[in-house]
Amino acid sequence: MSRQIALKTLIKYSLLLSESDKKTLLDKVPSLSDEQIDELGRFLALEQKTISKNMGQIESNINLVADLLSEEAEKRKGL
Amino acid sequence: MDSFENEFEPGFGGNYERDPSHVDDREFTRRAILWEMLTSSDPELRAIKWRTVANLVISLADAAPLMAAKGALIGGAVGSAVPVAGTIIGSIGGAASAVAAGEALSWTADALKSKKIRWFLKRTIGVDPDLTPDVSRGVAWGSEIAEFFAGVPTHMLEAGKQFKVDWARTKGSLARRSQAEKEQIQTAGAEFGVNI
Repeated sequence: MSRQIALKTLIKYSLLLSESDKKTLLDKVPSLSDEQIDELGRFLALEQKTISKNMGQIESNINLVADLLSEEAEKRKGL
Repeated sequence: MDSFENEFEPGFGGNYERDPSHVDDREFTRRAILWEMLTSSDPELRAIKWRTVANLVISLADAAPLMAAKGALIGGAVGSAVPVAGTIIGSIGGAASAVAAGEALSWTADALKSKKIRWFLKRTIGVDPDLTPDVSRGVAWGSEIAEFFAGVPTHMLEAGKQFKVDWARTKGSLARRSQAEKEQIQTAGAEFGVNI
């Protein structure tokens, strides 16, 4: 896998970037210098590592937020 | 492999034999599995989507006449202003034509399980028309005979059995795709010296 393709893969699966940011970055990848590709690639790879390492915690936090929101919705219905 | 006898295993769809038991340990939400079934571009999952929709429509058409007949009879009993004989005759006539429409669809779906018809349509239009490839012909055709005598709509049972297998198959596909994405990310990370 070339570094450009690797960077595109990481951009595609990033959770930090919005869809429009992803599109902008993907268009810019061919014109990036090797240093820029390396820097952005490392940053996004570390993002994936963090996600992968803390997946359990992230999921439980999301579930907690979802529960709180549904409790809130139930309370509003009751009013 | 040019003969229909060799191409299709008895009772199973020739194109749909990907092992549905291969499901990753991870659990997926029902919403994720349904989303995969509805939006995937995988030809196998697209076939699953369309046959699920077709089976749902046929099952409703097959079962609706019974509900309609019931409703008509109850309506007839309640509506005392309407002449009783006319209501009954109308209800029977309406129910009979609805039964015929539902039955025709159900029988067509069963006829499409014939090896010769499947082979012919696959060759001519390139589509395997079997809507319940994981339900044996014995069950599909036998249930029609039972339906003829008992009057119970049976396509729903065949469709339900097929959906159960297709659900597991979709879950397996989702697990495989998820695993492939994970491997892609790991390979990409390794390019930048990060062990994901």
